[in-house]
Amino acid sequence: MNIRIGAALAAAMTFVLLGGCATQEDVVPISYKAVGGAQVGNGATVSVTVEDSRTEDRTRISNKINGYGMEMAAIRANRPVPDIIKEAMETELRNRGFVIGQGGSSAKLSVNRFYASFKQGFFSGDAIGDVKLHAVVLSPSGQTLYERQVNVEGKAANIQLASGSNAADALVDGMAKAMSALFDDPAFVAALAKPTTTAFNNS
Amino acid sequence: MIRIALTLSTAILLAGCVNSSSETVRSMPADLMKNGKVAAITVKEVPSNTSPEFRGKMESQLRQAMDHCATGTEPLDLEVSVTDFKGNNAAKAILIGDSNNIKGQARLRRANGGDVVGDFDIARSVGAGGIAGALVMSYAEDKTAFGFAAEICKRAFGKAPYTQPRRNIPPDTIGRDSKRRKAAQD
Repeated sequence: MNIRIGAALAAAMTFVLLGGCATQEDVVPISYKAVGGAQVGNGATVSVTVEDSRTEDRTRISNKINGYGMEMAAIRANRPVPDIIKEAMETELRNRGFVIGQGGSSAKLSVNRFYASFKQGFFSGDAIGDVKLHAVVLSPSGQTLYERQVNVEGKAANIQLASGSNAADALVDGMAKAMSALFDDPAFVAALAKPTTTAFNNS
Repeated sequence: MIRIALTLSTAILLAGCVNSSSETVRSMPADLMKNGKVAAITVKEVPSNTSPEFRGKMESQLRQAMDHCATGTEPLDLEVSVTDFKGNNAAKAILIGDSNNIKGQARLRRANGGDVVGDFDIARSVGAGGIAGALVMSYAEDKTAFGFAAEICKRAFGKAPYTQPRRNIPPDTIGRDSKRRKAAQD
């Protein structure tokens, strides 16, 4: 009888130990908070298109890890990554006085990387959101007015869990840094607002 | 009861595990899964933290794996990019556990630069702890290269991973072989 109880307890303990959340996929929203800035748009019309050019981790935005640092279940966004970036860019443009629509210059973004990884520390860890975007601004006639590669890292510091929400936080921070890098560049704003300026930049 | 619980928890703590988080971006057509044969293998990219021999190890493991699992007649080209590799730290593995990780992409095309017929994100981790765990995870580059190739077999051709070939260790260095050799000489 005691052996049976022991076996049952051992089995239960195995399920508890092995049935952790690292083996279950997370699907999370990426809730971008607009950075905002000076009203520089003056009602200029801008259209935004975003394409997914990721060459790795194309179907997920992160992976959970276990105590050994092994990649476990996938963490996915609850909608396509290009839609998330497009909405973030449009929000930033509206906040700066641009109007989203056809007829003006167009901002074309390519998502090269959108992935959060987890770093383990002694007492806590960090989530690092790797965001790489390629931005091109075209005039209404199709002339390239601006081109830049933006590579930034967002961070959710001092976390305890390699969870979907922490991965999302790191990526939101990365998106904010990417948007700041673009909108802090006078050439980008000039290309959107006055499609006569030509600028090329790389960072 | 306590003995069982202790034994079980010790086993769990010392045991390692293998996890694949590979994903199919574009699955192979059913006819090519059955009838595909990999003609050319190109390793386009390897991480900078690997040894100079790693590319050769990958090519060798991929060739062995493809010969095992793609046994049809329709020629395909395999392009592989390994984008991330992390080998375990033996001391860390013994003390608190560690893992070997490899990530990359595998793309199958019709031969001679034809259409892409299969596209996969490959990711495989092996984690373990204790002295046994550190031994299991030794030769990280060889073992992760094998794991990567086995994942392609599974994803692209629906074949179970094949058995890892024995490393090329001179027979004299293996106790059992040297005993047999000595017996044969006698």
